[in-house]
Amino acid sequence: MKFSEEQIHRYSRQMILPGVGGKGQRKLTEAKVFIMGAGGLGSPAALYLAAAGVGTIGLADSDRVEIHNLQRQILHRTCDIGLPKVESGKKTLESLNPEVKVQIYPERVTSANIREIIKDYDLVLDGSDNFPTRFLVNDACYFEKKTLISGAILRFEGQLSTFKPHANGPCYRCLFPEPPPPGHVPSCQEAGILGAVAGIIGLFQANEALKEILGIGKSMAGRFLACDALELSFHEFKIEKNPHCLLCGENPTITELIDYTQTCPGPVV
Amino acid sequence: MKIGLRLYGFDELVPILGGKELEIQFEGHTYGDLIHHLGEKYGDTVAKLLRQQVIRNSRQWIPGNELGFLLEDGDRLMFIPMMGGG
Repeated sequence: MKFSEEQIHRYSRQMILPGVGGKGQRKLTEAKVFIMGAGGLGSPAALYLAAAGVGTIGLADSDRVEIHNLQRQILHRTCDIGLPKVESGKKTLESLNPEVKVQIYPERVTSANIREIIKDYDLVLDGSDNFPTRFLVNDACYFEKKTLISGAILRFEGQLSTFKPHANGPCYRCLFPEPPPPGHVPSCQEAGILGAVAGIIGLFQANEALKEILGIGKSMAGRFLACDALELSFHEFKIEKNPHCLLCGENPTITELIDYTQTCPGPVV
Repeated sequence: MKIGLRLYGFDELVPILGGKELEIQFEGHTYGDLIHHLGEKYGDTVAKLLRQQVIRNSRQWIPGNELGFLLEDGDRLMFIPMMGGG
């Protein structure tokens, strides 16, 4: 594949980087990345992946744009209120980089469709806003042997890791075996989120995705990052495969996908 | 046994515990004993919310369901909340 003059101009600032070049840019062009959630994390991640020239971006979200999303979900504009988020997101990404193919999934992702959706993608980014989806995405990635770049946020804090159980690394369940009981963990709706924190963690996810595609740097697989944006402190921990993991451990009890109930969280008391 | 605790997040617990970092003296040997002690001293809410993931001495991850995990005197535990926001 030869790059056009416009493409060389568009990507010149990253193509001159060691580890990228024309070969790396070709990898980006051929890459397919699936993003679960076109919200606070998915927005910055999708924008930077599209800007970098990732060839195919899959965007899944069943919600519509609401005014309270706009404080952090930068894929959407005020004029997009009421539109399905994936349509608004596709429009923004294509206006940023018309070369990127944006596949949209406005339907609810469930155990019935997720494996079929992610099977053709190289990487999965989880930016979902609820635990049932997080566990579903993790389990589907495990069964489909997909690398999962997971980000999560709440208030002024964020978390990041990359899960590659197919390459002997831990999965999300190695750390978090089951969804928390209702009322144990507040949602962003209840507890709030500073928009820029979503930006920080979403961009870390995009950065990890680019590294995985290009095969450069040190993967976040086997590492877990916790960020406190109020102190602007970062703690990194080594994480290992849990032999007791219900999904990828020595005696797994989870052998198929589970649709956990989306319970309305009770107050954290 | 004396254990050092550090909260990461859990803003609602900071006023109850008196800070993000504290030393706890308790009778017992396990992570479950510690959680039980925290419940008795600070109330069920603290025990419920802190029954989550813990990083022991900056290197060992203890999932929230492994209450029988053995602790050692002087351990430093960092509590990591599950976050579902996106």
